[in-house]
Amino acid sequence: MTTPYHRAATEPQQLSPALVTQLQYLFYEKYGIRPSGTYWITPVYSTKLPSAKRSIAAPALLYGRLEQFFLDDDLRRTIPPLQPQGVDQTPKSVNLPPTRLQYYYQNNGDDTIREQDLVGCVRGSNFVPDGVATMRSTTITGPVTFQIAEVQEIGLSKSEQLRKIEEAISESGDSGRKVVRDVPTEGEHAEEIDGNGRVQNGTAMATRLQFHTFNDAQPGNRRSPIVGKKFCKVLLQDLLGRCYWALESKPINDLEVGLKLGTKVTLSNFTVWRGVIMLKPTSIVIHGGGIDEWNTDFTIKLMCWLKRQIGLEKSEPPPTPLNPPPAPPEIIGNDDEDDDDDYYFDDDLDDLDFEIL
Amino acid sequence: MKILCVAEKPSIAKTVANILGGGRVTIRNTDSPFIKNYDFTYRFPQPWGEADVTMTSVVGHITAADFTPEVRQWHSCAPAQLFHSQVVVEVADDKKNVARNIKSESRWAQGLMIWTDCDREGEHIGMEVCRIAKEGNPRIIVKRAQFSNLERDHIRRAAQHPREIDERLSDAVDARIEIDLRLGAAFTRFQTLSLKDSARKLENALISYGSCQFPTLGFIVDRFKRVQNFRPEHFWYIKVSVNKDGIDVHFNWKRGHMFDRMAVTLLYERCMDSGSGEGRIVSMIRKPTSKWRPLPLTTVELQRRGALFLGMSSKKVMDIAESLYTKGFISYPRTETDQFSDSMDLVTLIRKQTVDNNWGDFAQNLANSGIRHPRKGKHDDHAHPPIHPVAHVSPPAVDLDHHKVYTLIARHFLACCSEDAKGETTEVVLDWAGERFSTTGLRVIERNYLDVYPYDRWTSSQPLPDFVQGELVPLKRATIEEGITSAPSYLTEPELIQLMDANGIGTDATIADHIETILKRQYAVKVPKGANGRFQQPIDIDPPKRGGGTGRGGAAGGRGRGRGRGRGRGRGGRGDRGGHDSEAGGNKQKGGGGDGQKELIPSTLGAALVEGYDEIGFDKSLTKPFLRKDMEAMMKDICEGRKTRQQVVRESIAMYEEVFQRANGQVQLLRQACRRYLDR
Repeated sequence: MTTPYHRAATEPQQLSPALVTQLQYLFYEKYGIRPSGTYWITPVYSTKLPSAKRSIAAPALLYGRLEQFFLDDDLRRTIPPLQPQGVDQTPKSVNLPPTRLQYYYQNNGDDTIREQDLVGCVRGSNFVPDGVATMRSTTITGPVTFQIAEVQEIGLSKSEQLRKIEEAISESGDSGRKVVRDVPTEGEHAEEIDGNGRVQNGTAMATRLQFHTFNDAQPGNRRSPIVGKKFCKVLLQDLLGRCYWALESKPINDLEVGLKLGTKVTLSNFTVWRGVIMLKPTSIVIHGGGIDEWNTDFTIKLMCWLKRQIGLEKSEPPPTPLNPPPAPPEIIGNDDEDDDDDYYFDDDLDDLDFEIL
Repeated sequence: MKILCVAEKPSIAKTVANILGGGRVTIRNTDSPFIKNYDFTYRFPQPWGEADVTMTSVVGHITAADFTPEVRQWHSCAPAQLFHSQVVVEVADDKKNVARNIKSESRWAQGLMIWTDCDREGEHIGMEVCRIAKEGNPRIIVKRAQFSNLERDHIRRAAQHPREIDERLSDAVDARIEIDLRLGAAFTRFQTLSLKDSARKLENALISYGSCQFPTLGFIVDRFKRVQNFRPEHFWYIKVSVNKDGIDVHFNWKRGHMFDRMAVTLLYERCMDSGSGEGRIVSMIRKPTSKWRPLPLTTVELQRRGALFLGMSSKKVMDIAESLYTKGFISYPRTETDQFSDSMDLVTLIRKQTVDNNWGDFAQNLANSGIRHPRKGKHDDHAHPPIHPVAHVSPPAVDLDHHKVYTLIARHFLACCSEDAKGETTEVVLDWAGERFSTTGLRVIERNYLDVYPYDRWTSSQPLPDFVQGELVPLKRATIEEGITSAPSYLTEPELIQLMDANGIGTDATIADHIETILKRQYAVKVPKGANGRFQQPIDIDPPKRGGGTGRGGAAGGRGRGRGRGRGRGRGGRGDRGGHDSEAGGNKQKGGGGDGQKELIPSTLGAALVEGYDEIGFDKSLTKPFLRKDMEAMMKDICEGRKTRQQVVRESIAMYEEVFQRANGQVQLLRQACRRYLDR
């Protein structure tokens, strides 16, 4: 079915070079690393929000409304800029046939795979079929294996997250003791929205929160929860290196900031909405694992990133010898020859066993 | 038989003498213009029996601790030496006549009964009196009266059931005095002398140190920096409303709100895509609820509520409470106890309030219909009951401010003895294409204690229409809303009191003094509330000048009537936000104008010191409450016989000396911080 709405959704969008840069720098900025594979993220269509107070009269009007949502500059700024740019690096080696890969993950067996970068290490067919990015909504039966490239807490303000990390650190410094810094504000619940749509932020939470001892060097797969958990947005990377934002449509217990980056997960029967994967506990299996290189100095980098995000600190993290800063990203041109549907697969991939689901 | 009685203050001596003497009292003057001796006869229990009594008083502590003269000057020794220099305890110069009076009166007495306030500090003053009396008469027998208010029957009972004086409490105070003297002097000299060259403003400044003041200042600076570092962040959320039975009902998103526009937009779009303009009622649950009456009043709560409800500074509230106590209207205002013992005759106390114009009828009803025993908190200092009125008073017998504080105490007491307010909440949960929304309503059914306690507010919400589970309701509106986080506010005095209490800084009785001290030292300033974000930088004011004489400096870590009780107490405030409207015909208080509603902003010097010490990075920082809390815990150990005074002084001094050495070694960090803030 082709409604005006769908057409609008599939139209490719022009992205400014600055926005592409922003995306490519995401990892470098935050973690000082450059994972292999090219980072492109499936497009999320910017949608214009309806004016705040307008009511909806009847469901029939909803689609009509949504049409106006597109191409809102303001929204683009808040969402990482998104446009398929093609894959510039195809898997170089075939380590495992697809079925075995699945088998390994499901049986939690082969740690060597769990600890490695999926991209370039494994060649297989279980990645997200192309095209989902341009569909408004689709369900994929899978299973598809991903590695978690990024977890962001979006239910709490960044200041709040920063404050919790800082408190956890100072607590571990003062012989493990905690200063009570806040008292419950009488009659007010923290982070409660008052009449003006403003949130009383950050004054009343601490006394109610239990902090775990803070320790970055904690062994095992998971760190202590460090920023709290409300609602997470994660970036999943399939074995072609393509990244997809994913949201918890129902809360998933182990998904929180502090989960080791590079953790492998398998999804099945999941919905993709405008290129964003909707996660439910029933559709995800978390295998664990992780990529050590991505997790060095995790907390420090996270703090710097949070500070920069809210404008507290301007400076970039110092480049380490191991991870020189990436060259200013080239904008991968798709103006010319690559502009058709198959443009991100080159011939090498033709013999792969694609499961188009 | 002659018995000497000594109270802590002249006013108490007068009141007690009048009660025990039954009005037949002769007054004699003494060398001190403040102190009178009251002579009367009284029948004590055996072995004393019928006796000629002289009731006199002191005025607070009689002795003072100080260093020997050779180290009293600013430059007389290295500051660190003060941790170990000799300390002498002598009768203070201005108390010589007080001591003389006691010595001479004790000469002919067989018994001495101590009537100082019943707490640690009072016990210490009692021991001082005892020692001086024994100089005049070594064979004198000492007893101690145990009382907590100046009500007639209570005082008579106290005179009939004296106990022994508790030297351990007095030892704890001795330890505190010595530690405070050494720390205060050493750090004050160190700070003052080593920072005087780092900024022009500090050339002649006195930069005093107190082990309670610094953590207190730490709280103010911590909050200030959080406000300073605050950056607003946008968030989005979905809001739906339905109209039923002509009532608009707004539902809030169960997920709250999100700081990511993409996520909210997608979830919203998914809901809209479901094609349903209807929400399904998942549940409508009615539950009885109640708003609890307050806990019995402790000192900290009196100060906090006074600051919050009456808009007075905590110091002023305490001063007034002290004076109300001395005049016999309320019980002893320094108490940690938040439970009334079962044996207390509360009804009699309530009956005394029935004459009041404003709450008399309430009290009458309460007394007639039977009271509910007050809620019991977790604290009991085993010395004093919670603060309560013991006699009725109204203007013009007291002035307006006194009456305000009295009103709070009386109403609080009556509220404690009443029933909780009763109500019913309704929670409706609505599901719209998988997203959950909820709304709640409140219906107040019985106001009960709220009728006498206008400071608490609890009102019914707009009534909710009747929903049926499973019902489909058309959505009237479903929108994405945008909001922005707002900065935390600067610290207010009531909040600071709670923080100090929760972190074990100071004690119920000294908290107000510490706040006063840091303001006096110009480490912080009070500004009218609503200053949100107005202060980008700490306030630049001139620090106090250093006097020429002794380099003893701010040894006032809680001196004078400073108490030495320490007990951390995190009390979760139940939602009882204060309304400022009094009852009809009552005294309308102006909201928010007073001292208690002001916010505390650090001065440049205050901020520099905290930042400097924080940078030095102690394991236990001077600006954090831990050191002081440990010290308070040790005081308690003395009181309960687990440690001796000498042990505690030794351990405490060692703890602080380590910190001192470290600060001394890295003093350049302190200097840099001062330069950063003060030489702009």
